[in-house]
This record gives sequence, structure tokens and C-alpha cells, in this order.
Amino acid sequence: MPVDATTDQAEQVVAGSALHAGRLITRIENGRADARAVLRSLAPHCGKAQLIGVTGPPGAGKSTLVSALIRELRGRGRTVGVIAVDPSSPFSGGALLGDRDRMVESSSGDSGVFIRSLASRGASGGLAAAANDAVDVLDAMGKDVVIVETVGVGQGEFDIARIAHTVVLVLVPGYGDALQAMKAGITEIADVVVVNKSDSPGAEQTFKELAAQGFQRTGPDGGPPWPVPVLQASALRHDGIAELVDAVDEHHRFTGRTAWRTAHEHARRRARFIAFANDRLREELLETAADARALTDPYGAAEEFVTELIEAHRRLTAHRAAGAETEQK
Amino acid sequence: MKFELSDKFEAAKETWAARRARYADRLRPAKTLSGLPVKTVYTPEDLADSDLEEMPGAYPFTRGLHPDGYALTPWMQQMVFGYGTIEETRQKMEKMVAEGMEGYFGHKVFNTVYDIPCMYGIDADHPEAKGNLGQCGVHMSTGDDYDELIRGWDLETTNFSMITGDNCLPALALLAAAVERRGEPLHKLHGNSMNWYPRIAVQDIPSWEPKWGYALMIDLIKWAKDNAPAWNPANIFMYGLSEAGATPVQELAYGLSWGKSIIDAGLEAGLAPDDFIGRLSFQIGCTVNLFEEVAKFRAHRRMWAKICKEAGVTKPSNMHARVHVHTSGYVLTQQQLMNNNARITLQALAAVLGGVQSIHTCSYDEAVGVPTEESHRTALRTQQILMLESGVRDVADPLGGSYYVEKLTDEMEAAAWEIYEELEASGGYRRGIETGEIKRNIDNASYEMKKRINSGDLPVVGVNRYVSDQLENYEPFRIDEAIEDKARARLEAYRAKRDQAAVDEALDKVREACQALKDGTGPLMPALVEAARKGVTNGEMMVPMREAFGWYVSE
Amino acid sequence: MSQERIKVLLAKKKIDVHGRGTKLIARELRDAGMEVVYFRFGVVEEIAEAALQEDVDVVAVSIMTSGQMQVARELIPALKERGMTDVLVIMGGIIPEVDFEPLRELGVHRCFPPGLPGGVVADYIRENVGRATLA
Repeated sequence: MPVDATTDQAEQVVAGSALHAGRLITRIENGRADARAVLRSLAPHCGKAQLIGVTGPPGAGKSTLVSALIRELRGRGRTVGVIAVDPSSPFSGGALLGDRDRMVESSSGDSGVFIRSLASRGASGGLAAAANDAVDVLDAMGKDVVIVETVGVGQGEFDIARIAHTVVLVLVPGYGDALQAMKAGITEIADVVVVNKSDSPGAEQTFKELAAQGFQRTGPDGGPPWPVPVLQASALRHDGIAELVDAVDEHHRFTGRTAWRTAHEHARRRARFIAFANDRLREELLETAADARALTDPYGAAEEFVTELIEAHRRLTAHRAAGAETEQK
Repeated sequence: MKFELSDKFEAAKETWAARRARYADRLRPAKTLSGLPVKTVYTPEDLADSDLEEMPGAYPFTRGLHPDGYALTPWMQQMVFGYGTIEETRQKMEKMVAEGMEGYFGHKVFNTVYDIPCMYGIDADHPEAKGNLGQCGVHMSTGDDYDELIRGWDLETTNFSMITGDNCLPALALLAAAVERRGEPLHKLHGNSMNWYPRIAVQDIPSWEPKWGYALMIDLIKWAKDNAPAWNPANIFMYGLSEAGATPVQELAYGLSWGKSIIDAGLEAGLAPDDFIGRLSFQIGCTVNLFEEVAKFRAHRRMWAKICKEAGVTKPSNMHARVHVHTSGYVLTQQQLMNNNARITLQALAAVLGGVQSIHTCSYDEAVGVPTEESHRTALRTQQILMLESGVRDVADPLGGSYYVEKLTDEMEAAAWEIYEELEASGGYRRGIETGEIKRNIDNASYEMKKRINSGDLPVVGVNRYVSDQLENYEPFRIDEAIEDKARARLEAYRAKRDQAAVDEALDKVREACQALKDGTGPLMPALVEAARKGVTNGEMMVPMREAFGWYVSE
Repeated sequence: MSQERIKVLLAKKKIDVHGRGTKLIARELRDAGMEVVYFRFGVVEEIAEAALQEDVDVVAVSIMTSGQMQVARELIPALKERGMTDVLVIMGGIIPEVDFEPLRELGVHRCFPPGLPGGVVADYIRENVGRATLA
């Protein structure tokens, strides 16, 4: 894609064009090389949005909770972007994306809300590979808050912790669920824990159990730990939602003042570097290499190829260093 | 029932076995729609465990509610109708009466369906009503509309069945106010409120929060008990379950569970069993699987009677499962429309052989749109032909004693108890709404059925067998879009002549009464009736109700 | 890594109780490898807005209680207004065949009768997606 088209694309997204943002996200999903150039142009415009991750076991009512969050945030005059991820069928590769449907009550006709559903497309864990970049698009678009909602099974929770500033763990009442959450170590990435469906039987019990745990999260550099608040909410009744937003904002302020934020930003930049480099290496070197080589001993062939690459890179780096020295002399 | 079978029977069986030995293994085993295996021949031996010593009209009513079946009075011809504004629907009402549509003992029955906006609880001027006003149902939302509905009909001999959505309480309140305006006492009111909140277990529409959905149901039941004791205050809408995909056995099991959840809610609210259980009624679907449906209706009566007895009902007539059949729409096709006549006939026949109390027959063009006058009349005539020409009306439970039907009745009962008991063990129907379990199971059944149709395993003539390329070119019944303007104009005119201050005050009282219902300190219906007297509309009443009782799609 | 999938917005009116057919189509399209955003709308504008944000290839509207003409009259301009000129628009459900042509004239590319064997809609979409224009 020619440079001017890229700039134009980026400009449109920054100007808030839903058409261009939507199409860009599609190109990102489809792994289009030209999308990367646009993402790069958007990078200076990213970093303003508050990123909230919503995760939790199936049936916890995540989508309904996100819907309530949207309503609350809009009531406070903030614009919202949402990336909602649903699993792709391992059999057909298709997907039923039903999260948006639950969020419409809050957002119909409101241009301050942009909701995009993504299918996980076989990504291991609950998060689509495109989610990270899609979040950046909505950030660049100017949304004050971007919410990412995961499928909520497996490794997805950890992916989400890498993207979001604040991870909200949504649990549903039930003794079994509370135990599961603790065992799975999910609570290690949760910044805020919410027991949803507060009017259900067992909700009070679950809430008390979790609140009694006294979860904490320790940050980088041994700074002050963050005491993880445990809240109760009923998304359907819009109970406890104001408190939830307050807790999320509190966490955002807290981490913003400390090394948490910089560490998080660095981690995201690192992830982008690896993802982009990975894509290009695979497209431009790896696929061709796989086609060009004899693969009777695939392990050996891979070893050989990688050793060549590392050697070539080492030589190039050395050459450049020598060249730089020469210039300095 | 152990039959005294002699050597003659053993010999007959041997001959039979020998005769079929050549081809028996090539026979494709059959199943009912619910998946119950069906043999090619049934004998007295199959009834070894059955109770055949029941008479019609006696507990547990397997053979029917009445000692002589339809001999005393035939089933009610309760055809659904309704479109446009009340003016158009009035004309239709009068026409149907002229066509001979009747209820018990020649009484009038009006089974009026509301349009989607009314069901949802929005008035004609709401933006979301666009495109659906007066289509597929009548738009009836003001006091004037209800005055017109009841005008000229003798209340004692007229049944008003109102196919509402979640606007059951407002609709009944509006009807009550209209009756009062005519100077008649409410105890003369005959008819039916759907009061069918639990249908949201299978429907993807926003509705009340389960706790309040049930509270509203009980509120209506209580009000009707005290003010209009002849009124049927709740309809257990099993039809909705089968239309959503439930097999006949699932329809049976979940339907009974739905009924049980109302019983539980009523008892919890302090009502005595004989006070309200006997006034609950059922609306059931009916497919083309003739004998399965007959067995279903028989098993249903038996099972409901047992549930009632266990709940503490003492009067036998309060254990009656009073059933209105709405022939299943989902089995009708848009392809080769006239084929549907055969389907509808079989459906109606099954309902009659099953001994139900009331029937609506769908029209052959149901899959195209609202019935034309001709198709509607043909559907009514189908019932009348059955009633007068076929002789099936003359004998109570004519299939009683059939080895097949008795066995199938027992098997359906057993299969349904299994599902019923499982649901009850995990918290019952109400809990099923909250967890989405019922919806999932029924969705899966729907999916399985579609797969079978797709593969041809389940034949549907005109769709996967004997398919024709010819376009139907059938001109359906049209409701002019101008109806929307008419409905809006009616609403505007009505609002203009109201005392707005009185309306606002009445709505405040409704708001307070909603809170009182939630607190358990007072009922809601009286405030709604008062609001109806003051000119509040259907949609306006629903606003404070939605605020108070939640309005969302269950998970 | 190119993993293109056909994306469909499957819309039905929120206040309409009938959903069995719509849910079945959703599953069938999923089984055919498509990504289906199941969506209930209040007013027609919402369909266009959702289609825009989701950047779908197909807008499929399920009609169960009339209103097909009104939906078509409002939907097509709403899509064009938003710059979505190459999306495939289809309708299905309780729509009489005699309405198919008038709907086509309004810009609906194809209408489907109810109860079709699975795969018919998916096949049509696969053959026509990316080749449609909104007249």
C-alpha cells in the first residue's frame, strides 16, 4: 500500500471514522501486511485510552457486565470502545459472535460507543491474535476507555493481562467457582474481582469467601502492593456498577503513579515488536525456507536454517559496529 | 393389566414370526418425533404393566376430563385472529361469529392476538413499533380500544382470550375498566390471560427479572381470584416450547415443570391449592405425528392430575388439565401451500382423538403471512368437518385400549417424568430460566431436527421430498401500512381528550404499587385498574413496570 | 497469516419473539465456517451501525412478523450513507415470494423462504460475497 494511502488511512482512524477503523481491524484479522504500516502510523496516537480487560469463567455474565460498564461510563461522559472475543469452532472455523447483542441496550444509536466482535480464530487461549492491535485502533480513534472481553477459558486471561491496564475478573456465585478461581491462579492477574449476579443464591457467600482472602498484587520494583478489591454487582440491575468503575479508575490512577505503568507499556511495546517481527520473518523467510528445503529431517533442516540466520545476523551486527567505529575514527 | 392369553395367542405369534422371518431384518426401525422406538406390531402383552381400568372423567383423567367426552359439548373452536386496529378486528370478530365459530354450548370465543408492539408494551408512537404496528396482531392500547372490543357482546356467554406478550397485567386492567364503564360486574368476565412469563425460557426477548416475573404472575392470579373468579388467569404455554424446538416429550416435561413452578409460587404466596390451581390452563402444540400426539395429550392429563394431587388439591375438577391446542405452525411449509391442509387436518384429528377442550387450527398459508379470509375459513371448516362429518366426536377416548396408544402413553409419561424430575432436582423451571438450561436443551433439539431435515432423514414433503421448482406466487393477506398512521392517530386522539394530570397521578400510584409489590406489602393490579380508569394506555403502564421489575434478556 | 472469514451480521427485531429460524441459520452459517454476529435491533438504523463497526461482508435480516418492506426501505440508504456500498444484503423468514422482486428493487440482493435445507444460504453467500454492490 503506498505511503500516502497509509497516512490517509491512519488520519481517518484518528479522526474517528468508524468505517476506516472497522476495515482496518478486518485487515489486521486477516493478517494483511499493509495493516502493519497503518498500525505503525497510528502508534503516536495510542496510549491515551484507559484499557480495561474483562475476564472470567463462562456463565459469569461478562457481556452483561460490560454492557453495564458502558452505560455507566457513558453516563460519566466518557467514550468507549469494546473488543469482544468469542471462540471459533474448532470443526468449521466459523463462530457465533453473540456478545454484541448483550451490549446493545447501552449503546444503540450512541456514536460514543464502538463495539467490535472478534472470533478467536484458533488462537490458543481465549484471546484473538488481532485483539491487541484492535485495541490500539480504538485507542487511536480517540476512545477514552477500551474494554476487551475474553472468552474466559484457558490462557486467555494471561494474554489479557498483557494488554489491559486493569483486569477485572468476573465470577459467578457458587462455591465451586470460587475454589476454581483460587486454584487456577487466575487471581494472580486480577486487579479487581467482581462477584456478579449478586441477587443469586450463593452470591453473598462467595463474596464473603473471596473478600476474606485478602488478595494483593505486587508490582515491579517492589513498590507498594495493590490490594485487590472484591466487589459485588448485579449487572442486570445496574447495582454496584458505579463502585466497579470507581475501583477500576482507582487502580488506573494507582498504577499510573508507579512503575507498574511503565513496565506495562514496555511489555506491550515488546509484544508488538515480537509480533510484528514474527509475522514478517514467517512471511518473508520462513515459508520460503520451508518450501525450498529438503525436509527429510525437518528438525535438522530447521536447526540448520536458524543457525544460518543467527550467523548472518551476527555478522551483520558486527559489520555495522565496525562500520560505526570506522566512522567515529 | 394382565390379559388372560391362551395357547391360541402363542400359536398366532409363532405364525406371525414365521411369516416375517424372510424380511424382518430388512425393516427400518421407526421412531416417534421424540425419538421413542416404535415396533411394527403391538399386542396385549405390551400392556402387562398398564392400568386399563380407568374411566373417562375420573382421576387421573387419562381417558378425558368428562365422562362422555364430547357428547355433551364439543371442543371450542377458538381460532386466533387479530390485525390492524380494533376497528378491523371487530369486523373480523363479527365475521367469524357469522361463520359459525363457537365455544361450549354455542357461546362465543374470541382468541385475539395482539401485535408485537402491544406485546412488548410500547404504544403506536414508539420508534421501535415501526413496521410491526397492526401486523400479525391487533394494536389495542387505549380504553377506547377495549370499549370497542367488548361492545355488544354478552359477557356471561363470551370468552375473551387475550394473547398478550408481557403486557398481561395492563391488558387485564384495561379490560376490567372497560367492563366497569359498561356498568357490569367483573365477576361476569369470562376468558383468559396468557400470564405466561415463563415462556422467556425459550424466547430471546427482553422480559422481567425471574423473581419479579413470577411475582407479577401471582399478582394477576390473586386479583382474578378475588375479582373475576370465572377468568382463567394463567396459560401454561407449552406451544411456545415446541415451536422453539422441543420434542413432544420435552414439551410435556418442561410444560408440566412450568405448571409446577406456578403451583409452587402460588403456594409460597399463601394461596390454598384449591383456590387457584384449578384455574390454570394449558396451550399445547400438535404435530403431524398422530399417535404420538394422542399419547401425549393422554399422558399429560394423567401427569398433571398427579402433580395437582401431590400439591394438595382435593377437588377432582381442580386437577383437570384444561387444554387448548394450537396446531403446530413450525411443521407447515411455505413450499406447496396446499399440502398444509393435509397436515392441519391430521393435527386437528390428533387433538380431537386426544380429547382436548379447545382448538385453533392454523391456516395453510401460515408460513407466508397472516391468513387470508379463505384460508382462515378453511381452517375453521376443518374443525367443523371433523366435528360433524367424521364421527370422531361420538366416542370418548376412542383410541383407549389400543395396544399401541396405551403403550405409547405409558412410555411418553415415563420419558417425560425423567426430564421433569431432573429439572425439579436442579431447582425447577424457574431456576431453568436463570441458568438457560431449558433454552439450551430445546435449542439443541431444534438443531438436531434441522440436521435431520437437511440430511433427508426426517422427510418433509415439498421441502426435502417431492420438491417443486415452481414459485408459489401466492398473494398473502396484506395489512396496509397505512394502518400505522391510523393507529397513531387513534392514540393521539385518545391522549388529547384525557385529563393529563389524572394520568400522571395514576402513573405515580402505579410506580408506588410496583414498589409495594417488590416489598411484599401490597398488590399491583388495583393500581393498574385505577390507571386504566384514568385513561393510561398499555405502553404507558409498562414504563414504570419495566423500571421496577427489570427488563432484559435472560442469559 | 491470512485467515479470511466471511463475516455476517444476522439481525432480527428485538421485540419479536420468534427466533427459532434465526438461531438455526446462525448455526448453519457458523457450521459453514462463517463468523456470525447475532444481533437484535430496535430500529433499522442500528443494523447499519452494527454492520459498520463489525465491517461485515453480509447483512442478513430475519423477518418473522412482517415489516420487510419498511426494513428494506430504511436499511439500504442507511448502509450507503455509511459508505458500505459493497455489502451483500439478504433477507429471510416469513416473506411471501411475491415480495421478493419488490425487495430486490429496493436493493435487497436475495430473499430466502423459510425452512430451507442447510447450506443453501451459505452457498449463496459464498458465491456472491465480494461481488455485490448496493444499487
